[in-house]
Amino acid sequence: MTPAQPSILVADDDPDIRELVVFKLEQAGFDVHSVADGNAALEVLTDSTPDLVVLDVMMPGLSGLDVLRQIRAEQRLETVKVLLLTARARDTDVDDGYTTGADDYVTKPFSPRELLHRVNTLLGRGR
Amino acid sequence: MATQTVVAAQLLSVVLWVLVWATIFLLALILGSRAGRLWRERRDRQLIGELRPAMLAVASGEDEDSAALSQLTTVTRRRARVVDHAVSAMLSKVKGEPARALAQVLRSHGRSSWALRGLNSKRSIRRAYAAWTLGLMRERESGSKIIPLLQDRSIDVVVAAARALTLIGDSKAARAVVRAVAPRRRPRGLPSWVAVECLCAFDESVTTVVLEATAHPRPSVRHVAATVIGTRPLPRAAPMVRERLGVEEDPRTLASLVAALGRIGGATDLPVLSRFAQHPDETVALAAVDALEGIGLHSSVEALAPLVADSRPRLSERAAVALTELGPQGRERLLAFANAPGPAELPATYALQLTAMRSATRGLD
Repeated sequence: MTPAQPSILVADDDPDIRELVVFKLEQAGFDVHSVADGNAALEVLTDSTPDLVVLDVMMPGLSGLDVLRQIRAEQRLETVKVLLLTARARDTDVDDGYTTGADDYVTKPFSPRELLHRVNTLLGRGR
Repeated sequence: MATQTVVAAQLLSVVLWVLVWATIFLLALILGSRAGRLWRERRDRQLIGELRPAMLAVASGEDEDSAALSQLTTVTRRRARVVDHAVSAMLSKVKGEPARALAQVLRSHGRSSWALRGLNSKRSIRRAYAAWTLGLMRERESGSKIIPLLQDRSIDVVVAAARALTLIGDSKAARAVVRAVAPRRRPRGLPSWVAVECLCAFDESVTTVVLEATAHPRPSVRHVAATVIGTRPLPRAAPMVRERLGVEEDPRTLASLVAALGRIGGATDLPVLSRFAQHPDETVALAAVDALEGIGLHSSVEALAPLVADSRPRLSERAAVALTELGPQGRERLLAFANAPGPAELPATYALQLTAMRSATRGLD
């Protein structure tokens, strides 16, 4: 029996980025679900527990950091890894991301290949 | 009299008819143009829809046999326009090999020569778009042709040119970028954050230009230079920063110099930073508090502790929060403040509670 593929939730309001990340991760064999804002991300998280969430920070409604805070406050989601994928690249932004509980931080413009490596590392998958 | 009334009534009727027909015509024009735009958007979506998987394959680096790339480079002229639009949008979001491959798509459709011609267009929007397109394509050899646009009469073109040079990373543009911050002919200069981003994207050879700019007569230029020194950071600039701190009068620049010293300075700078933490301008004082925290030495604790009792609430809270970041020594001082009535009690309690909340949120408690 083949083990289930790790599941990933992608939340980004930019359709280009969303499609690109989904495409890259699906090509790598992940089970990927995507949403366009923070509220929709939380809605998905009430019913499911993905292995990893790729979160944009600046989204309409709830920001990525707000979603991250909710994830970290929920015991059921304590095993979920969170990778922030954002255009906010200042040192203080990166600090905020990690302080809020992100496991990794990737700035835009990004290399899809590097993103995949980071995702694999977070999920403990070999190349 | 009766004839005059009839003529007036006829005139009024003609005017009314003209007004009615003009309104109908305008409404038809608005609806027609809107319908046309919707139709074009739908057609473009259809055109790009079939090529979207190929574009995603190229943009994600999943096109090992270059089949998707050749699909995108060999489209008809009509499709090329739509593909270029979508590829340009994607190009600003990715970097590395996928970005180079997407630029190749644009090049194959003649976008390079189109953009180079556009740099001299009479329309400012065309000049701006042309510069931005060359930047997105990272056309290094076009840098020297974009640099003159930093003195363009339109600020939109100047910003587009600076952002294009940022993407290209052409350090020969450094002096022109500094000049664009304080232009002689235009009322508005290049926004400082765009200039900083640009100078930070260039290589080390810009150091001389940045150091010279710290003594520029215009405060906006000095502010940009000081911010670049701290943001890159440029450790070679430390002696110049110390010198400028003694003479700078513009508070915004002073705050940036203090922040820069926090990044590139060392233990010997603690007395200077402590002095600036008492500065009457709160922005300067806050920058000094951050700098003291940034240097992160044990002696920073001694410099920050008295500020927890400062009468300015933002400064005292910031100093207290900075102490929480300076290890057990900083937290011990805060606990002592929190347990003794006085002006430092409230900020110290706030900082300790904030740390506890952050730890709890991260599940570290």
